[in-house]
Amino acid sequence: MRLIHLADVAVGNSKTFVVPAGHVYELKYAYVVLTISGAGSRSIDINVLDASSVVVLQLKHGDSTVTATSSTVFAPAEFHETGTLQLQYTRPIPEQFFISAGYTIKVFDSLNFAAGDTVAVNLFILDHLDNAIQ
Amino acid sequence: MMGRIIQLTDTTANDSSKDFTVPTGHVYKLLSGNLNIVTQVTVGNRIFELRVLNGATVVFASILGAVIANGVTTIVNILPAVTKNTTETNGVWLLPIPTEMYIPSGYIIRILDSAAIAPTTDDMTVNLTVIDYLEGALD
Repeated sequence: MRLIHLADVAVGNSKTFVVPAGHVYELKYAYVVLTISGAGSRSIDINVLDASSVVVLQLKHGDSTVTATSSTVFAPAEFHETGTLQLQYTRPIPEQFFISAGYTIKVFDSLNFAAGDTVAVNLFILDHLDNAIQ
Repeated sequence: MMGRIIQLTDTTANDSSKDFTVPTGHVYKLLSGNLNIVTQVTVGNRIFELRVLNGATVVFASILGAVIANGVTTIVNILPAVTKNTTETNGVWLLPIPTEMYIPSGYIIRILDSAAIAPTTDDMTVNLTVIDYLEGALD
């Protein structure tokens, strides 16, 4: 098992991360910064998709009317904020958030308001070999 | 996983930004923290944060639920999964961190007033409790 930090901070409002074959990811926490490119509502969600691209988990943001540049901390047992405090939201995720080989973590604006937005994603993950889960 | 508990402390006066770097070959798990803040006379709204940086890039931030003004003596508890308060509660602010906040080798934990209202006169004592793992011994 090793700690990895996956990041994608490029322009775009949908980011995906695929768990490699033979591995299982345990997502410990995520830090996501939305930089808007124009006025309008966004919802910054995390979905998990199986190897056939079927959505198996939907973690909806607490606010579907995000209209300003802001950040969100996704972590276990966090309070489900419906508004920002100092331009930051928090949002709970599972305490033991294991994601199987071939599955995809998708961090995105589920309202797909503006492809010119930047959803900058930082994921902190324990990377397990899939026959060595602890 | 085998690690050791260590205390990271910085009591230097007259600054409002403190760094703690995870040593090469190690991984930290941040368990909790305590800040003692004394803001000085310079008027302005301090925005206290716990950040993690990879070099100069901010890869994580937890921001206090409200600003802190000048002339205030207060405490900030850094704790897993607490709900932020938006006013000081019996002298204490709560700043949440993830329940298992692992931080990679070489990354920097920075506690700061990101508004930098009085960066050379405000006082901030920082105590962080972490588990220090060897990077190859997380199993």
